[in-house]
Amino acid sequence: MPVISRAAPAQVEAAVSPGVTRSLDTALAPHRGRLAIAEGLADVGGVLGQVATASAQLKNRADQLRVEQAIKADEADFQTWLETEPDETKWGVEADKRSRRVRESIASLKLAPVVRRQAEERLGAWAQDRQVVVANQAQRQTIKRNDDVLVAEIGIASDAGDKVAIDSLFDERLKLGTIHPDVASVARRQAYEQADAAIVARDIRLDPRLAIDKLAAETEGGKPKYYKDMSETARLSAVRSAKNALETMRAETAQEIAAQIFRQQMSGLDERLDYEVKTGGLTAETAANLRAFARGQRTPIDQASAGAQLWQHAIDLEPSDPNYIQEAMKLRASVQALDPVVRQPIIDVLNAKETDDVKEDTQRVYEALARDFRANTFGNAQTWTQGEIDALSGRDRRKAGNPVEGDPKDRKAYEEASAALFRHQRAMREFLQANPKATTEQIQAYRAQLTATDRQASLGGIAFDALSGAVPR
Amino acid sequence: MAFTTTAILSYAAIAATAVSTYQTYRSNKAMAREAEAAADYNARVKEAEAAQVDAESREQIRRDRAAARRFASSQRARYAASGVLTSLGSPLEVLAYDAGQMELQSLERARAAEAYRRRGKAEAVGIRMEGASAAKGYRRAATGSLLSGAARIAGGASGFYNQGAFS
Repeated sequence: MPVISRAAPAQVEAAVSPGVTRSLDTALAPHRGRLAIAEGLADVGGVLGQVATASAQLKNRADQLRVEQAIKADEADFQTWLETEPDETKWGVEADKRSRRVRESIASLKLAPVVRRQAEERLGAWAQDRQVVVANQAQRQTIKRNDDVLVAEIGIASDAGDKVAIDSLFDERLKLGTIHPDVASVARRQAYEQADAAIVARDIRLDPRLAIDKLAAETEGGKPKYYKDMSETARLSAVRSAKNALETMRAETAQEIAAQIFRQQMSGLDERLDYEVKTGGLTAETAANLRAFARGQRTPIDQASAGAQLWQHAIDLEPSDPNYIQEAMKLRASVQALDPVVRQPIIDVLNAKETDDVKEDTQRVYEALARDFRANTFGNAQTWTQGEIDALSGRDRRKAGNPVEGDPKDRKAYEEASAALFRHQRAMREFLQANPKATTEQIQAYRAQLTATDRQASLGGIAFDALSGAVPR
Repeated sequence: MAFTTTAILSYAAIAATAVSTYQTYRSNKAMAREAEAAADYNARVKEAEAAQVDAESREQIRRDRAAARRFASSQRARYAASGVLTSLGSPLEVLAYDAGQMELQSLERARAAEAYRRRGKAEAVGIRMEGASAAKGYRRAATGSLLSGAARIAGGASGFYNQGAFS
């Protein structure tokens, strides 16, 4: 039996009239309207929910980025730390510590549950991945350090010229797998070459003459007999070094003998000079000059003339010239047979070239002025030409001192000019050493002052003028 | 606790869903009641119609029988006046036949009225059954709306919570 509402029976009783029925659609219409309102409200709720979800997702995306940023920042910081920590045994512990710290910092953030779960998964995977990466890095570091030790030992063996040690060390590297066989082959050749360079350097140090002989020695097939692993470039360089060493040795020998001469220790000098010439310790020319110097056979004029030529040679030398050392040492050996007054300016020129006491620009100005000074003196000196000598009668020739081509016509003036030149040179050197940053104008002003003073105060000034033809003598 | 816009929107969405669910439930329940009431009313109308036809038929039969008696009396009186003996022979047969025909007519009318009354009752029962069936449907719809609303609210709340919309 259907249940009828309490109000319904009374209404029905009151309203029942035969033939008049109630339409169900009409009866339900108000409720259907309310149902439509409820559905509309549900739609509004759905839209609000979508908006709320989108808004939350935006924030969550920002939080996810924050997590990624924290990971990246820590990764960068950790890589920086790795570069400062050479002990790879600490890397793993530090990585774990840092991973934990990042996790804690993320855990302290106010995150949506879904983001927190994602972040935890991401951090877990990252920490695990980093652990593996760091372990690999540490292992590579260990291998690299071991290999570095081997490489350093190869360098030491190369410097010592120990090719057996080089071989065994390369074999060890190949066993460890730290070097590819092809690379090892090339590197081994380089190490051999370096070893040969070390051996030849040692030989040069011990006796450059022997080293030069060994460098030049060839087999019957025309191949190098010694230092077989050296490249041609290195061989040429070694030859130059050996020659440099030889000339240095000769300069030192000449200096030592000159010092002996100045101390008037003449006993055994000739034998010593003969021995040095015979063994290559001195050139025959230097030995002859030293011998003449010791015997007082070099006149001041001779010395001035020789000094002027050597000085000019010293001025013209370029430190950038590969043969500079050889030439400079030859000069240094040659000047030992000169009086210290004549010798010193030449040595000063060489010293100035070989040190950085004077700035490059100042040095350049100095040399230009020196050349100019020379051109105004010796460059314009009236010297005998072969034609003029031939034109002289025998008497005039004897009167002129039997000159040869290139000899000054006025030897006294030439000597005086040389002395003035060296004096001028010394003064300029002292000025430049005291004023290493002197400008071109300052140098020129000093030089003008010096020249003027020199002209007034010394015979040298008159000699310059006479030599250059400025003033008739 | 400071509510963010997202939290306010989330709570509003859940509230709207809850109100919508309640309104749907209420509407369905009301429609069930209304369907039952309307069916009952219509059944009562049918029953009232049947009762009215029955009462009218009975009254008509009563009147028909009274008229039949009056007709038989008057027929007998006419026979008697004409000297026809009504207790024997054909007149008696005529009287009996007429009386039988008239009673048969009353009985036919009574049967038709009873049939109409029974049909009206049956139709009322059918209308009530239809109303009950519709009401049952609406009640089930109400229960369904409650369930689906609860599911929507739970799903939405869970989603909002996971997305952190409440914070």
